[in-house]
Amino acid sequence: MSEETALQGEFYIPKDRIVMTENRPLSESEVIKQVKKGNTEAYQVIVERYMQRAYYIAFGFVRNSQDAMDISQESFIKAFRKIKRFDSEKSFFPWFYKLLKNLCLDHIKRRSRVQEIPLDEARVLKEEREDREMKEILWRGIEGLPFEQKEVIILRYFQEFSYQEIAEITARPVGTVMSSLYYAKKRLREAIKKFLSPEK
Amino acid sequence: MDHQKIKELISSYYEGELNEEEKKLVERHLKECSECKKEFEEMGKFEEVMGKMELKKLPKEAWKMYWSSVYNRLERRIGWILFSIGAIIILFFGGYKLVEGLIQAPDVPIFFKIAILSVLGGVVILLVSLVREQLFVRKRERYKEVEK
Repeated sequence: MSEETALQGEFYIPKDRIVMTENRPLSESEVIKQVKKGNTEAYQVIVERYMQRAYYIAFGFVRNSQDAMDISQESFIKAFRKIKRFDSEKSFFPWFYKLLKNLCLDHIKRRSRVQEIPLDEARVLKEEREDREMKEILWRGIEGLPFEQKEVIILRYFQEFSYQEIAEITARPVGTVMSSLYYAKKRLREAIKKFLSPEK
Repeated sequence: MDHQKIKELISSYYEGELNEEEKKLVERHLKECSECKKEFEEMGKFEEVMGKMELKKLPKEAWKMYWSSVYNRLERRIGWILFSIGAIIILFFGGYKLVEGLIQAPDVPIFFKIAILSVLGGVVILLVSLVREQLFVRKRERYKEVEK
């Protein structure tokens, strides 16, 4: 899969939802072309494809459900307003991600002047009996990472993107993604070292 | 190969991001190097912990309402834009008519005409200043690391 098309998928849009000459699967770029003509039903397809991803990425950054919902929706509104500037031959998500990331950064900057959101809002573990202290430290550790490292941790561990996809989304070389992840993990491991090597 | 490079490869090893050649390289090195073997084991424990972490999931119902919420917000935004354009035209036209009537009115004292014109002039300057400031803020690069 090429770098340019790693995130590009195909959509099937029923005839009754979009006026088409024939009933056939549409590529993302074809759907985007419809959106550029002001077709909100085509945009619904785009929004529904990426809404969960957008929400959970925003949630990873801002750690508050209501704010993440608001930011992700605002990003889609912003993207719709700017869609004419978007090159429909490229993948939508990396372009959209920049808008989403900007809104998250705006929010974090605003919030840091006001208050800290309690960590309880932001996380759960699959197994409740896991060591609570370790989780707490780990989440605090993720929170305290430099933005680029936090970004790759969220995209890798909570969105399960490959290195190639992260590189495409963040517009950084794969090698940089790889080493950002390494250093992020190194810091996080250091933070929970006593839990990983209890004998010491 | 140096230990630092191997440590970075170990990180990618657990994520399934190494090709066969790199995997073999790591595995060969681990047989010979106790320091990197320890790193490998600790990374394994760390990956296990990270694998158990997940973000709080939203209920399915939340997603059913998502698009309608985006659509309503989009629609309201368009409504506000139309309302604002109309209000601006009405305000400017009304202001123009007010000033015109005021200047032409023979029975209004001159100091009152000056006061009213001064208030209107002030409002216009404040509005222009506000709009200019907003445009300036929008043009500025807020985050160097983020591509617009």
